[in-house]
Amino acid sequence: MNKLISYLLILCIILPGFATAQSQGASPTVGDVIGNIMAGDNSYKSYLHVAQTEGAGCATCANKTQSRTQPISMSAFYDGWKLNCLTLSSSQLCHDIAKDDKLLCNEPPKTAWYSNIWEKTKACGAGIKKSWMDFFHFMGQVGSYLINKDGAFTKTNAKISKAWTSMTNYMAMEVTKYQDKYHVSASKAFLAVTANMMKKFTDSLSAMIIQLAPKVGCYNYKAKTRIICQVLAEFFADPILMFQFLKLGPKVLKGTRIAQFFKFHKAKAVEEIVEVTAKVGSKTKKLMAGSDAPLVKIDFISKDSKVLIKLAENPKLNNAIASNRKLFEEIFPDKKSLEQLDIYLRGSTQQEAEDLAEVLEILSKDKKKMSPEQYKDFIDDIKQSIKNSCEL
Amino acid sequence: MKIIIVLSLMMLAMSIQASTAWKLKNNFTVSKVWQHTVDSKFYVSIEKTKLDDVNEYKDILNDKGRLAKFNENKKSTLALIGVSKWSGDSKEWTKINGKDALKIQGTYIDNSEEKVYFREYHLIEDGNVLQVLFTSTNNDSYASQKDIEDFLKDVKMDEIRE
Repeated sequence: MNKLISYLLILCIILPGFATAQSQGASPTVGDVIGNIMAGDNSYKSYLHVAQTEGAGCATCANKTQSRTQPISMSAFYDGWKLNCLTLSSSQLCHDIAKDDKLLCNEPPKTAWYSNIWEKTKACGAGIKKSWMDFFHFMGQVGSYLINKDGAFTKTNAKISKAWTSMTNYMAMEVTKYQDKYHVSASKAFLAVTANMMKKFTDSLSAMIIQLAPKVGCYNYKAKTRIICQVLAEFFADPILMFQFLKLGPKVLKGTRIAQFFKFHKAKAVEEIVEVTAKVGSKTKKLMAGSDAPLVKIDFISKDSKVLIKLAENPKLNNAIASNRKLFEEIFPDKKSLEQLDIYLRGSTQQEAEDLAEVLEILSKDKKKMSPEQYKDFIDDIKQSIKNSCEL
Repeated sequence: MKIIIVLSLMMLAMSIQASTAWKLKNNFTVSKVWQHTVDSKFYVSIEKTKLDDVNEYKDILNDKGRLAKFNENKKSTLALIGVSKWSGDSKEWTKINGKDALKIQGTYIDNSEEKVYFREYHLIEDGNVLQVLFTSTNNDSYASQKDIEDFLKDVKMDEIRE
């Protein structure tokens, strides 16, 4: 019972409160797509959890009970993952990313990129810490911000609350005790004691970065860590900027070194990703409902998402390609021929796409009845026919 | 004359005893931490905060609603650095060196999951509050009341920066 769909995949993902928002019918944002891609193996675990406990994976299914007891398989799920990954990596948004830094879509990462971000950012080290005073001041500000981020206090009450909390005192005390107990340096003790706080802070910040800086999603694991380190270093150097960012969003970053990661938020490229992912998900969902056929393996077809939409729109063609993959690769062996298919499908009607599906099925079925020459001629005819259609 | 010399010597001896009861462990500029020279589990640290309105601070215990909110914030904030179950069971205003001071006494669980007995003293002076925090995993540490009092007498507002 394969109900694979990138849309559902996106529906169920990990960003806080996301599954709920999606099950209420909201469209996925590019941050959701990126969050999903960055989640790797974790996204399937999250999907299973949501599907089994809340039935959120079945927001659009007819039978929720069935979906809860029969979630889709991991491999089917990751077909959707690849679809999203390829859509993103081949989009305009990612076109200027250096090859070595670019997102890889071979297989989902074993762990979610943003899990334990604090551990990763500890490795950033350089450029973050300034002096003990600055660090204590920074931590105090972060603590105050997290407590009073809703602006519940007047200025006077906020000061009284800060004094009453005596956080610096407790922090200094706990650092010193840790240092004595484990015989480590003050720096190490400080990081150990503040880890919980920093984790909370970096988690919420990284969730925002994923949502607001789509370009970050274009980078592979190593490059992404480097970039988040740059972002964090900028915020550590200027806590006020960080609080403004948390409150007002990326517009406050104008003129900073990290603005480049956020400036594409409203760009056409981003809209394209959202549109394509939603369309593919939606079409595929309809296609796969009640069907046991797997979604056509998209990794060998094309990185052009418009072809994928067209394929998803037409179940017959999709199934024909999935079950005659070898033949399909013979007819469309390279980038150029796939581009021709792309153009052909864009201009074709539903019936024409189904005709192509039928040709594939017949050719595959009757291959044994043909001589190699006849078979080759058939393939050449199909190629030529598609080529001619493109030139019209 | 002899009596005066003897008394002076005694005073000097007591002064040395007081100053040597605590050893400075860390100076973070915005906070300092000392450890008791005999009881290694006994620590004291200080922090200073400037207030807009000292009287409002002094009024803190009279408004139970506001106090509950401040305590709730304190617990949430301290939880971020691994301090949990903070409970200030006893709170009272007292005088130290003739100045107003709020004393809070209670327990919390520290980073290592150990129960810690603490005493906070909030000394009010010149629009500032100087918080002095004593902690120990052994409640018996507070038997050395004299060392606590001497520390509170000696500690100065200008010891640290805000």
